[in-house]
This record gives sequence, C-alpha cells and structure tokens, in this order.
Amino acid sequence: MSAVIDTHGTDHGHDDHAHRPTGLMRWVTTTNHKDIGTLYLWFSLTMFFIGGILALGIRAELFQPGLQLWNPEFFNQLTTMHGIIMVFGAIMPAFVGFANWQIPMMIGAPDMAFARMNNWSFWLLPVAAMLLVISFFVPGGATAAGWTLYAPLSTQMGPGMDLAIFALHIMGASSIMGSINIVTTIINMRAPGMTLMKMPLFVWTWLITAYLLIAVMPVLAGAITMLLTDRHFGTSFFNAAGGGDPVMYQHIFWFFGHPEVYIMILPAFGIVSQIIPAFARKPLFGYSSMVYATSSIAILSFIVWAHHMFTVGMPAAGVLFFMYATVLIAVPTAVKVFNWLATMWQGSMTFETPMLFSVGFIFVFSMGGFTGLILAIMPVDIQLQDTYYVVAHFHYVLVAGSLYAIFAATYFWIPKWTGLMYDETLGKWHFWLSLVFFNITFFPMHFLGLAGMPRRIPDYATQFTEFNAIASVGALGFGLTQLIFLWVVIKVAFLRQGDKAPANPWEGADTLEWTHLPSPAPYHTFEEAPVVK
Amino acid sequence: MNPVNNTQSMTRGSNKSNLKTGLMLAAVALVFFVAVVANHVYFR
Repeated sequence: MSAVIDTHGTDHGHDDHAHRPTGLMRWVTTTNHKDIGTLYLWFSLTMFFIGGILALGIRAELFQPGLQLWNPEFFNQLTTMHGIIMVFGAIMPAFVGFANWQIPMMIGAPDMAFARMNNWSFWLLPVAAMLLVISFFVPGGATAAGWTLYAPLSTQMGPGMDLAIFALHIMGASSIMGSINIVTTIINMRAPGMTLMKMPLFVWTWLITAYLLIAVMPVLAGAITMLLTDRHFGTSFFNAAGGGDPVMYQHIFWFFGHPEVYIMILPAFGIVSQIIPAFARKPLFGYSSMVYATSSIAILSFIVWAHHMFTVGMPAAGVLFFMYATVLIAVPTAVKVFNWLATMWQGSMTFETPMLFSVGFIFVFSMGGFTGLILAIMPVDIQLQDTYYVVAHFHYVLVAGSLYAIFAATYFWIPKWTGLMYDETLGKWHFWLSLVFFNITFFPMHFLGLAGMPRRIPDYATQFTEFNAIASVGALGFGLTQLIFLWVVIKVAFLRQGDKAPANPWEGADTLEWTHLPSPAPYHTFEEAPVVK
Repeated sequence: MNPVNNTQSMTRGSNKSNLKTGLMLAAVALVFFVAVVANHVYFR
C-alpha cells in the first residue's frame, strides 16, 4: 500500500487538462495512456462477447447427446477459437487496459515510458483479431487443434492454422512491447518517494507479470515459428517421421503455458488487493508478504509445466518433481488468501459491487485452486486428464478468478475514468446472477469429469445428459447476464447517466489516483510529480 | 502538451534511461526466443 502523501488538493490547476484531440484520429494516433487503456478495454469487451458467442455455440451443441447443430470439425473449431480468443483477446488485453489506465496514475507518472510504442502495442491487436475471425472462412475453417495447438495435429491442418499462428505472433509481439513498457514505466518513472515497497499491490503484481511475459512470450513465439517451418519449409522439429519429437512441442508450449496461467491471475490478485482494503477500510494485511508471495508464485510457475502432460509419460523422478513443485504453489497462494481474509477481519465492510466481485473472487477462485491441487496429484490426474473435471477447474480460476477481478476493477475504477457512478443496483444484479449462473454452468462439469466425460467432443454417452443440459442452461444465463454489464458500462461511458463521482467515492481507497486527482481524471495527469511521503 | 516529452521534465525517467531499460528487456526477450529455437536446431 502506498504511503500517504502530502495532500495539496486534487486540482493541479493547469488550463490544458481538459484539452484533448477529437474524432477518429484521436484514437488511431493517441499516445495517451488513458486513451490507450480505454482502447484495450473496449477491444477486450468486444472479444469477450465474440468468445462468449462461441462458448454458447459449444454449449448449445452439448445441450443433449447426438449431433444437432454442428459437425464435429466445426465443434472443434469452436472450442479452439473460444480458448484462443478468451485468453489472448479478452483476459490479457483487459489487464493491459487496466495497467495502462492505472499504473501511471498510481505511481505518479505522467504517462507510460514509451508512449508511441504503447499505441503500436494496442493497434496490433485488432489486426490479430481480424486474422482469427477471418480464419473461420478459409478452406478447412479455423484451427481446430485446441488452444494449445499440439503437434502433430497442428502441423497437418489447413490455412486456418497459419492464420492462427500469425495472429499469435502478432499478439505475442504486442504483449512483449506492452510488458517492456510497463516494466520501464514502473522502474524508471515513479514519483519521488514512491519506493518499490510503497507501490500499490496492483502495480507490484503487474511488474512481476510483465517480467513473466517478457520471459515466456518469446518461448511461445519460438514454438509456433517451429510449427510454421514444419508446416511449410520442410523441417521436422515436431514430426516423428523426420526425426522430430511431438512431445517436445508440449514441453515448450507448457513452459510458456503455465506462466501464462499466472499472467492471467497475478494482476487479478493485485486488483483484489486494492479493492478489499478500500471496502474493509483497513490497510492491506501483510503487504510485504503479498509481494513475496507474488514473486514466489512467479518463480515457481517456471518449474511446474509438465503437470499439464503427466499422461505422456516421464520418469518417476520427473513426475515427483513436477507434482511437489505444483503443490508448493498452494503455499504462497494461501498466504494471499489468508491476507485478504485478515484484511477483512474486523474491518468496517460495505459491499458495493467491486467488493462483491472481490469476495466472490476469493470464494470461487479458491474452489478452482483446490481442484488444481487435486489435479496436481499425478495418479488422480491420470484419471482426470482431458475430462470435464479439467474444464471445470480452469473455468473456476479463469472466470471466477480473472474475469470476476476484471469486473471488480471496472466497477471500482469507472468513477475515476468517467466521472460518473455506475448503476449500483444493476451492478449487484450483475454480480449475483453471474455467481449463480457461473456455478450452474461449471459445477456440474466436476461430476461429468469424475464420471469420465472427455473434453473437446461434440457428442457424448447418454448418462451425461442431465448435467450437460444443466450446464448449457447455466451458460445461456451467464451469457445473458453479461448484457447487464454491457448496459452498465454504456450508461456511464456513452449515455453519461449516473451520479457525479467525487474525487474519491470509496472511503478506504488511498492510492494516488484517488487522493490526488479529480474524477474524471484529467487527460494529462501528474505533469508535476507528486511527492510521496 | 505532448505526454511523451513530459518525461524529460521530470526528476526521473529521462528518455535515455527509459530507452536503456527498454532495450535491455527487449534483449532478454530475444535471448529467450533464440534459445528455444537454437536449442532445437542444434540438439535434434
């Protein structure tokens, strides 16, 4: 938690604060971190709904056994593209959007370190998204190899696969540039007095996340580059017939893929660590242990990748190493959960929508954490590999974890962004309906997985019918509920409906954007650095 | 005011030091990419 600060009012008195370019070119050429943050967030929301429509396509087919709507090839395209779009198009850009908006304001910097590169980082994304969407319409359709693009399946597919590879390359480049920007901003541009251990937890978690991204996105780029040369240039990196090794693809992919999991959850931890103290009206319990726990999780994330591939076979020593290392991650994660609970303990809590989503996050994300521990046990994993139990597990951590934190952050910071309070009643409806429908959708998948239903199939044996029907109804409800969120955002962002937000609408929030800036935050902020004491 | 130039007027984060940090991080990314591919070209 940042120490507080000399309070010399909320207005710096510059006349040009309100000045901003207008029209389409403002958005195309902008170097302003707030504009770019907004672009990221709208892009993410758009991709979230596209990915959501694909998910509803999956659940519609699985509503009952037999093939009703799609042929199996197209079904596999739906699952694959749902995964790729949600991971790279929705969750990651949302967190980068928050980083762009908040990090400069939270550390008292005027903008990101590389403002023009920031523009480029964003505008690569729509190009990649277009490649992904177009891939549905090329011969053979979109890639259907799963979001992991395992070889040899991925070396044999049609041109949709090439488009996916290019899209991932572009999104990877965007992520690397974004991360370099974030690290440089945090390391070099903090306000005087803002020492590392005074930084808000959201900034800390993003600093660590950005390091993870710089380390692992090039590994993914390497893997898919080798896929590309295997497909078109006669190499045999992953082709057994040519002396290559398809299992090696899995190792490289998950060396990227497991840190990627933490890339999608560490900023969420940071968001929850900002919101809970604000609504418990207490300082965060165990600030430094939070920083160390985040770092520990990041380091451990590099040495657990093979738990995703226990069934390909490996020496017993390897199995034991990856199993124990994986279980070890529960320790720093539990430190975090303990600290959030201890922050709430005897706090003066109120439950506005950001707090509801944060508490929901702790409760439901922890359930996903526990099923992760179960899956980490190799003998159990042998049974549950590629079943719906895994699907249930990672949706509990990615939807109730990452996505809930994204909702919480939007409700928390939207008064600062727009100068208007969101509709609290609709926010609460959004939370409760999301919570109920989320569990209706994904809880039955645990039972389906334990009973042996494999994932990534369009048809199933009749004994799985009831739970699948329940999950599909839940998914439809969850999807419709997100229209409430869209409406809440449109109301404040476009229709400008809502009460005027004070500079700090949340009593317990004490970071620079709340204590030093009016709502909405001026177009340019902290041209003169605040002094943090 | 152009926010890019604002960094120069601040007590920290000059464009030069930012560039140095950025290039160092880019080099790290490049090393990871080359290591993965080179490792496979060499050892397969």
